Amino acid sequence: MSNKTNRRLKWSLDSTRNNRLNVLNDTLLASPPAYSSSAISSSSEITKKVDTSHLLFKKSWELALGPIKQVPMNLFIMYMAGNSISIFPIMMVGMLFMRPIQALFSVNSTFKLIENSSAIGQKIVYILGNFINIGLALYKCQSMGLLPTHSSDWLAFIDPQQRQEYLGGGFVLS
Amino acid sequence: MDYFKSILLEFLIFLLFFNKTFALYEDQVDKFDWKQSYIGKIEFANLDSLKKIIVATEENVIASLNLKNGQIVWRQVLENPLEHRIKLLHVQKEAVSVSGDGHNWFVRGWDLSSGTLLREWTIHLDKNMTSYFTVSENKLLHIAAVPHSHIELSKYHLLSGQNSGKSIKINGPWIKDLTQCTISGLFFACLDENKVKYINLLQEQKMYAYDLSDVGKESESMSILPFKSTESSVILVKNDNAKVLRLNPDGSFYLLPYEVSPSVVSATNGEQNILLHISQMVENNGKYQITNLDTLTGEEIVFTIETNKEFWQPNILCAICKGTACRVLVQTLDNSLSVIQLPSGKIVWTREEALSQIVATEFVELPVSPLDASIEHEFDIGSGGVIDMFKKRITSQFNQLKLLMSGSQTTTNTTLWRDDFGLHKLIVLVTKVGKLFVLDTLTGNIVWSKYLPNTSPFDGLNNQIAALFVQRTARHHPLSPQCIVLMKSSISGNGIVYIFDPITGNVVNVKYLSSPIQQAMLMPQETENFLKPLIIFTTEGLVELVPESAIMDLYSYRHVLFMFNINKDRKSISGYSFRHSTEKEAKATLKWNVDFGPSEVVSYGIRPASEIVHSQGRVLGDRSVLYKYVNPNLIALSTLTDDPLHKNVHTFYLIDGVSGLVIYSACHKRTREPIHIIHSENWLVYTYFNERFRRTEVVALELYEGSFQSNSTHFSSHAISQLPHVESQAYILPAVASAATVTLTERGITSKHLLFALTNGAVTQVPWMIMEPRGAFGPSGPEEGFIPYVPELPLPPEANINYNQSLLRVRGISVSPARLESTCLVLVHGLDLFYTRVAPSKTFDLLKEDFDHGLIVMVLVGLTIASFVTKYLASQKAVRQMWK
Amino acid sequence: MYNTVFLTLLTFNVVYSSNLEYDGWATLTLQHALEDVANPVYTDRGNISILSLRTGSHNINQEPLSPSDITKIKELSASNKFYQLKSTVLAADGTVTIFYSSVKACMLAESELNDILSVSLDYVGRIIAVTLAVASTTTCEGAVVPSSNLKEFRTTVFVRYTDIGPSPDTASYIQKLEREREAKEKGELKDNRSFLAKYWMYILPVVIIMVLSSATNPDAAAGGGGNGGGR
Repeated sequence: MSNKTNRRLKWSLDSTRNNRLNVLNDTLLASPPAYSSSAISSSSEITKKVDTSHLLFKKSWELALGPIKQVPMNLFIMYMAGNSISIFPIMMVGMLFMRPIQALFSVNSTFKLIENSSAIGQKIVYILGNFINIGLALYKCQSMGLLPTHSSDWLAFIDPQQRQEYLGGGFVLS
Repeated sequence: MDYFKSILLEFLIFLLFFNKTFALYEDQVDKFDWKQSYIGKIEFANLDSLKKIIVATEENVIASLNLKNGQIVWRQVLENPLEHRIKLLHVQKEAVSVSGDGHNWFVRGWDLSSGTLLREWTIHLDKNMTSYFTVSENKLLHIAAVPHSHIELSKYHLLSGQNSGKSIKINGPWIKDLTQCTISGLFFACLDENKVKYINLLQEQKMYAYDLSDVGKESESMSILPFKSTESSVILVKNDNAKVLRLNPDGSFYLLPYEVSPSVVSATNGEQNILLHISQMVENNGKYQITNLDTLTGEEIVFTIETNKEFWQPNILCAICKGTACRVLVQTLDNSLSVIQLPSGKIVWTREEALSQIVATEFVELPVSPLDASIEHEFDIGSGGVIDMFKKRITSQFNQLKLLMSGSQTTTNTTLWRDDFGLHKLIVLVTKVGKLFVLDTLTGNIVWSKYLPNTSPFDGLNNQIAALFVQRTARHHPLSPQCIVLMKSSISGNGIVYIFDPITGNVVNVKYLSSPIQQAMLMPQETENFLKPLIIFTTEGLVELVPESAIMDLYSYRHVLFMFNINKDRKSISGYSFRHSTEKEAKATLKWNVDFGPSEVVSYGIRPASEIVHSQGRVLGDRSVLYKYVNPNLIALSTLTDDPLHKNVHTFYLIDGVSGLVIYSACHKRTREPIHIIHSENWLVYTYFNERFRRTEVVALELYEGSFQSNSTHFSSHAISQLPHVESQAYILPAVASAATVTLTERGITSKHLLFALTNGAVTQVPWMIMEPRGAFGPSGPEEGFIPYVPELPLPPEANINYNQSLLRVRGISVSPARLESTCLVLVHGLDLFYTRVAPSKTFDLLKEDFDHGLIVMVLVGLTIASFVTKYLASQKAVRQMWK
Repeated sequence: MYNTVFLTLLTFNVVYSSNLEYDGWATLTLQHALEDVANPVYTDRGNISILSLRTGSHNINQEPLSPSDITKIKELSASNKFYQLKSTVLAADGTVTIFYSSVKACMLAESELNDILSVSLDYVGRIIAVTLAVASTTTCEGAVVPSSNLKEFRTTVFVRYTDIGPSPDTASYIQKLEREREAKEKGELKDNRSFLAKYWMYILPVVIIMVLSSATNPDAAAGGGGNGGGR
């Protein structure tokens, strides 16, 4: 879909350029019959305007929805990685964490490509999607037992109870 | 599911090979351990040839000692000395011993060179009568004496035990006091009314009498002793003077006209008989001398014993002579056995037989070496100034370097300095005769010993105990360590407090109390001198402190100190508080009591004071925590009750020592001793003998507070919010344990092993992990560390810490942590002394012995060189590329 | 709240192990000392008669405290001293035993005289200990208790028994071994199924995945096939 529109955009740009040339050369050559340059140029102008804003809008939404679209893939990876703690599942969990966090840090640069100031909604969706991915990663950690959510995870930090009384004695010595 | 199965399988395999890991390699034998064998106080001694001494001891041991060096050639341990006694040791072609409990007498023949049992037969008596034995020409004569009436004489063939003829009754109304009767050769002699009356056992029932008044002697305070000689003789002792009375086969007698000391023996000097006796010289610093007396001529030769050691009332056991050259076996009051060579008077060897009866043990740390001390004290004085400090640092480090260069280790056997790993310690031992010993753990050598005359230990249950406390360890450098031993006076029974420095043996103070000691405890808090004051509770209810100046310390801690006392009748236990102490007087007030009625306390166990519990809970399968109930004031008690229905009933109690609350109790019917209790962390193990199934059973108990800690910071016995959950499980121990304890490590991280000394001579270690109760809260199901329950505890021979060296009649095992977390020092004492170290989790904090230091250095050096070479090559390559 | 925890635990014990062979009764005469001195004067507090040692049923008969006694308890509590109890036990066979016990007075006051009397029995039902306790997680919190709440002791009596200790569980172990042996034998008998019958659950998903993937991606499959053919 997107490819087609791009192509058309390219083509239309070319054509306008040609049209301009045509406009310049209008005086030199007579237009063929049933040809109205103004009509074409005006119509192409309109399509171009509509196309770019629409496309930018589409593009930005695509960007914004990207992380959410990754969720099923991530779920599949998570399922495949299993719950055992070994090098590959750990690397995968690391990846699951790294990508959304990196994406979150580069939100502005990502959306700079789209010179549109009104992308707040998209940004929010984008950030939300990344948070969903982080949540998934956390869930994965939880199911792998890597989160210190149990009391046993803090057992090593418990100090022994201080005794308040001291006792001595034994069998009678006599 | 398959996964769990595989885990299960793994653990089964793990269990199978678990104990293999404790086994010792052959080249490790004697590397970390040492064993010393003892025989006990000697009762009978015989010299069989020039090389061997055959002895029978109070410990019911028959042994052969090498005359030249005192080493044990062979040793045979007979029945328990509490019930059986050796009555006769006869050495001819073989050694014949007679021992028994009054009803059954065992006659055994031992091979002289190997000590193997050649023959054994028994004499069974219906009544318990005072028995005497003597040997005459392959005949064993058994004399059972009934005072004021008669004696019964039976003859047996010495080798076969065949009863030759009926027993003969000999009228003897003159036999009155059996303590004044003795048997010598073929004569049975009694001291009665100024007369020595005696009969020849092989001849007619004729009684001969020797009138003492004829020779101007009174039988008042006189005693009669047997005298071993080629001719039948007795010794008459009066006021430390003795005379030998020779009894001839025809009934006549001959009183030797020489005054000798009671410690007299006869020896043959080639052709004529001589008498050897030992006496203290009045002059010459009270040194002892041995007199060689020729019985025919009356000629005396006197030899002085050359020794710098203290010699406590020596007693000659036997002697062998060749001309004037004699070897004399001498036993002193402190149970040390020596051979003295005559005519030089020198001691050839000495055996410290007191070590066969140890009543208290304690491991003591060594002080730091002077060099380490100088480093430690570098920052002590604040007024030193920068230059001074710098100078000190330089000198100490220079000294260190010098030491390193000279290659001398700080942990050589001769120096008494602390090593890095805390493996070099001293063991303070208190023995039954009242002799203190300090041994070096590395070699087992005696560092010093000290005999305390007229002291005796306290009566324990079946054993005797002394109280030994370490008041100050060696960690407070300029101050020397200090120990206290509490004994009682064997004359008055009053308490004796002996304070000493365990490193040097110097006496700090000796205190004689005016009343017997009832109880003693060490205050856990230190005074300003880093001394832990000792609180002594006397039978008069008074409280004394050592040192006395610690009264202010007691006063300030009076609300937190408590004491318990298992009373003398062993049927009740009472708890005391010191809260009514004032700044001037220490006072113990009764706080609680428990009365067991007819039951008798047979054993108790409290946690070692120095034990640290590393983990406060156990992690369950669902990752929740079950918090341990670690009550430092918990007393475990075992009582035995005589029950008409169930024979003996063993009840196990857990009592809080501060409040007196009975926390748990359980009973086992039809049981009997031996009962041992092990108490550590939040768990307990006790063993008893089940008479119904005729086996030793072990019960493991674990106490848990629950999934919440009621108070995570403090533990108070007063604040009881809930009783602990008790998990228990029983096992069969396929052996009889004579002592039991648990390993102790510095920080409690290392897993725990139980140590059981078995009656078969082994000391085996059983991991606590396989004994842990598997109940509702214990390990269950396929989770980490789960070992399926097996009712019989596995005792593989690889788990014996003493490999093939049997330890006989073990009385106790004491443990001490090394400074290495993985290692625990173990001393097993009984008839043998055995020291070793155990590492329950293996030596995880030590490099392996076969660790290749050379290789790792080579690899490091190689890598460093390689990195430099590659750096150079890389730069060259870069330059070349630049030129291109 | 903690009191209830204690209660439930102890009652649990009671229900669990009342296996006395002979029933009996006992009378406890309680006396207390409201002054913490070395040799205190004990005054009457009340008495408790245990009607049946087996069931633990008992009657408690305690007089309300007089105002002077309340002030004494408050004084003890304020100076962090001990409240001492002396229980004289008269057993069914006529023997008299005296047991001493004490608790921190401040804990007793803070619990508003809600105390617990633990009566421990040995295996034949002889009373071996009478211990006074107060259920609390900390020693003293320093709460001020009005005198109106210190009028009467609200004592809970627990009769606690000696359990029969555990013994080695050989029977179930042998059973377990039997079961394992049987399971092994059964397993050996059952194991002669066909390969497919045994591992169908592993084979089926693989087949499904393969079928699905070829169905959703016919071009790739065709291309792959074409390539294969070309080779």
